[in-house]
Amino acid sequence: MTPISLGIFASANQGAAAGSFESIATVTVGAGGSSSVTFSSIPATYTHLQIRNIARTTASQDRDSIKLTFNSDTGSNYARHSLWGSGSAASAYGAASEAYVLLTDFAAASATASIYGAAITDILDYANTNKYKTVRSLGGVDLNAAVTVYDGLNSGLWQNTNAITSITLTPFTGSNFAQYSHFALYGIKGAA
Amino acid sequence: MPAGATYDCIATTTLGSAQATVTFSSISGDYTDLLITGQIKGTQNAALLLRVGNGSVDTGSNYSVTTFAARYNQGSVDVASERYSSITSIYASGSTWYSGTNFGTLQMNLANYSNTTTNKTIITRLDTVENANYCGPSAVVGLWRSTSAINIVTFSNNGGNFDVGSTFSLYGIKAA
Repeated sequence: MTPISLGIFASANQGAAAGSFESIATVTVGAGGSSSVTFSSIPATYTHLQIRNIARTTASQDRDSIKLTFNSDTGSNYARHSLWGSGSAASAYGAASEAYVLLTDFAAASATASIYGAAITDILDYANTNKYKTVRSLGGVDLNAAVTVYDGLNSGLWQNTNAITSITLTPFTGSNFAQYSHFALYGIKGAA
Repeated sequence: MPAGATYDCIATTTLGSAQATVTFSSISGDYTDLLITGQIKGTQNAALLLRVGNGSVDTGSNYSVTTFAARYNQGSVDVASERYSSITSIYASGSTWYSGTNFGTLQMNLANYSNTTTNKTIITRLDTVENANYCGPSAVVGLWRSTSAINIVTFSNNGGNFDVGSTFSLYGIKAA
């Protein structure tokens, strides 16, 4: 299916009232799904970014995760850590030199229809050119069933000092995000 | 593209007396997400319960929840996860009871609360902070199995009351 790429232009937010939390762009996946969602041309005028999303993928299983990458970098330049609950146990995981930061967990094709996972992901100091970029996320899905589900906390590191100008989200296993998956990108300003 | 503020405070309440429930009703569908923040103290050791609905609160067995908590109790530490299906409310794991003037902190996100296509997933952080006894951070994901838009939310303290000074604030977040 066609990936969704949403360019963001400097004029995009001219109509917005002054505020420290601004909506930059939103994608709602249409019929037929989408293999990825990309926010590009992200302006450097904010201090932090936040992605708020609900998602479901077409993976042939009951749940799936989302890969998060920056500036089209698919090299092994990321690290990630997770703390999560499965409904019966609490666990942790960490990995260095990964090709993505992982956001967990979301519903997939075998889950009851209409169930979507949700996450709130903060990308801190994204435009700073002196720091590696740190990500934190709270998310999860409950399937109302006696199957393993995940809710938890994820953190990630992109080992690159470039300003983040594009963000791509891709299903970990599934080939597509399902219709009605929704991704909203916000910019958070610091004090002047 | 967006116009107007994207992050609005819709309502805030601070309890002047103990009460069993806190309700936000007639919530506008103008936003994409809702965020409820709070500093909460119960009059007894009990779970924080959330029920939602459209027009009236759904008290049926249409909720499920998965919790994850790290707990500290007088020197011992454990982490745990629990799951409950087809229950009558979403609950935030851990106690809402804190001694003295200690209040727990709540951040509850109702994602895409007003769409009429998907079931509603609610993700929550509830952190209890106390100097000595039972406390810890928890993460909760809840599901309301309805495609109705949410326009009413009610918190209760599972048989107890919320104590004086507890605060609840409702925010609406718009998307472009």
